[in-house]
Amino acid sequence: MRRWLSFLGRWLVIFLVASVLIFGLVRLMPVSPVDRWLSAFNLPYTEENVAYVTRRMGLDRPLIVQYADWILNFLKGDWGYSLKSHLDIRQQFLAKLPYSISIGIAGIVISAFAAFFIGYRAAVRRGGICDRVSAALSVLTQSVPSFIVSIVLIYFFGVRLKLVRFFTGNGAYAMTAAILITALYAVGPLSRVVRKAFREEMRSSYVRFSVSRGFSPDQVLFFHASNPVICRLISTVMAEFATVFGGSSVLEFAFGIPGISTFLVTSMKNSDYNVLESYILVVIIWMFFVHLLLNLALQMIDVRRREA
Amino acid sequence: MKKQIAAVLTAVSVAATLAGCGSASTGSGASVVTAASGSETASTAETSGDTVVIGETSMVDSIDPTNNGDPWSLTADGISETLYNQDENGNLVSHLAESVVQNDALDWTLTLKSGMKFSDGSPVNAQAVADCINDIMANNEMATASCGVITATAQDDTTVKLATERETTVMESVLCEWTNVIYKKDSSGNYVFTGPYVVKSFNPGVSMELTPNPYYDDNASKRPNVKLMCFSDATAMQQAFESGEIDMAFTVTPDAATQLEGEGYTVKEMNAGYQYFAIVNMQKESLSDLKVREAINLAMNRDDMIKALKGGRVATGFFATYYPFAGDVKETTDVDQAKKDLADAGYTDSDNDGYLDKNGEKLSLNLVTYSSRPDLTIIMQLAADELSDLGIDVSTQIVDSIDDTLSAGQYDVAFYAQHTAPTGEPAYALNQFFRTGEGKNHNGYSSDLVDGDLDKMGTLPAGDERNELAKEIQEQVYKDLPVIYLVDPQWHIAVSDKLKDYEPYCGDYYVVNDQLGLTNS
Repeated sequence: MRRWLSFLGRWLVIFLVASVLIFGLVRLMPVSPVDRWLSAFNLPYTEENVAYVTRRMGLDRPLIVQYADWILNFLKGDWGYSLKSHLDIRQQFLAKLPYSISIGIAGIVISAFAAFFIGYRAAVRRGGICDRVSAALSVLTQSVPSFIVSIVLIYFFGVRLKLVRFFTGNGAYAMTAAILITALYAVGPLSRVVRKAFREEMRSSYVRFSVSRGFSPDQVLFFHASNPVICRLISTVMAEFATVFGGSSVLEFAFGIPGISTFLVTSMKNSDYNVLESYILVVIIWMFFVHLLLNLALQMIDVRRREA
Repeated sequence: MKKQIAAVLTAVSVAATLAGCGSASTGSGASVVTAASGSETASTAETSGDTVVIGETSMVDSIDPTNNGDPWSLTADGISETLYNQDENGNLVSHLAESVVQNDALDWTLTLKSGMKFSDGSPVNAQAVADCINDIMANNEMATASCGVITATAQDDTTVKLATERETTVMESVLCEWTNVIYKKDSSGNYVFTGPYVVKSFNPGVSMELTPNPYYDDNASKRPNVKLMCFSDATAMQQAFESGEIDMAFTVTPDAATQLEGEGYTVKEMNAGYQYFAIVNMQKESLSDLKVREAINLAMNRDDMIKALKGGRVATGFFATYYPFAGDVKETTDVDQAKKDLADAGYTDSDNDGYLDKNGEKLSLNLVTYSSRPDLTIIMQLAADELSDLGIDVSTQIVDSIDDTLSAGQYDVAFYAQHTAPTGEPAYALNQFFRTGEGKNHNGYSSDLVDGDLDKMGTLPAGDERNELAKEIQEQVYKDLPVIYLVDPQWHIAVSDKLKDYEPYCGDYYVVNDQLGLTNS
């Protein structure tokens, strides 16, 4: 119980410290949202115009008042308004989150499953097809940007063959393509993690003992040595979840998916303080739940953790 | 044990929540998107045969004409109208107003056409227009920039009295400003407008479906439905066009235009109305010398710029050539004369390092532009080459906020784009850029002749005399060179056969106009 209270307390501190930091950091952006707004409408940069827009955006109040106002309202569920569009940020997030969350989570889950089996086969058959595929996918991740793959995919299936309507259909093709590309880019590195973990387990005494008693090495690894490997995979995947928000921006841009990542990039371009501040807090809340869930899963799988 | 059961239950419930998102998306991305976004009618609708799909790189944020810049976008998308609009020749015309006549300095009479209707069928009468104007003035301070608060009072069914706080002689242009769209709220509290199209469904930042406004004119039944789609990425929009999913890509870059033309697609050039020019920082010692500014002007090879942009004309002043007040300046390129001017100004390569210098100081120029107008980057690069050939030490910079950079004086030559006559009249932009101490006059330019002409323009109604003064000012600017005129650009749009006869105009001010889909039907 104390461990979980400590976990909760740690995240509360992270939340509060991050809220102060992000509030200060976004205001260090080189261009203010007021400048952006005036430029967007070709309006002269006069004192009167600057003062008017600053007032309209609520940026004329003391910083401490702005911070207190923002954080208290955020905790009450009122995330304020976008400085650019003046639309309710929470509503915009709720409308856009499902796109990015679907791409992120589905991509990670698919890649984790695929990585487990590819990594397993790569470990038991060194130099085999799975070993080569996992190595090739790892190299692909580092050498070919995902937008290139997206463009090629759209070009062949949309432009050349005209088989798929990525942009004006019901969104299924675009989402499916984005999920598969996300999975493709995660499966290589994850499968190498799994492969390495299995190879380490192969050298452990309990596996060697079982094999020496006549059990098949493949079966021993799969049925008796997979728990520590899954724990390693979950720990690795935990970090991947941070990229669910913002990580899919390239794919969202390429396939015209109106997710939160596109929204984030656009908000950065507009120096939209309110959106950026809320975004960081949402990521922290998201990562809190990811860590909570995956720590629970690890505790169930890993006996040593449970006992500790 | 209890703890473990609790842990398992928690894990299962959270996993179920996550799986809900994940499995739905893997099975059918559309279904999860539709359900979760709540207002996804547009994205689920398949394009019908008589629907024109238009791709844009930005989209209106809301249907609220008092919200931020939304009235501008609503008019560009054919939903709302200002009382006066520009036609393709730059003339001010009105779908709703008969005339607006000045009674005295601060008092005008606006006469409306009879029988005009909002998109819900209610009349556009004097009371509705007066209420609308008063609402705009109360809710959007930007609307008061030209002549202060306008107070509107209905006199009878078609006559509105307009009382301004400050004098203006060009009320048609004031009523053409982007803030001043005509709207009212219907019985459900929704805004209704007078443009050729009505919003059928709207998914902010994603798409918008429009249907013809049945009360706009007799051609309503001939107009196609329109679907506007927002693309954050220009390449994605180009691919959507190539795959036949959209009928118009508004706009495409010069390179994309060439590529698409090469592939057999129809690419059109349209008058942008925007002007590309260079602002010279006359407060810098070297650039305070007219000879140096003349040398820079003569070094600019505008034909090369037009070639690189794959369209446009050599600028003849501060306005697009189709306006009656466009300048008559003849820009030329003469590198030899430019070199001579620099020599006359005292710049020679005294230390043989390849760069001109004077009194031991190298002639260096920092060229600046901004990324949101990619054409300017191309122009700046060409200018940098041309100025380097003169022996000037040139550096280039792309900044985020050009206005911030200009007002801070952190530039030598800034490449800038602006629609200089969005309301069909020249005085506003001329005042902003060339009157002593005005908002966009960042380089300290001051000319008694220009200030005097601008004063005179402020007392004259629209017409020949006013236009002549505008030309005189442009001529004087050409001589003084606080700004170097460069290109009167044309932008590129890619269109499908459905829209091969469609001719948008005035840049991005009227993307969906009342001729869309009519000309080829």
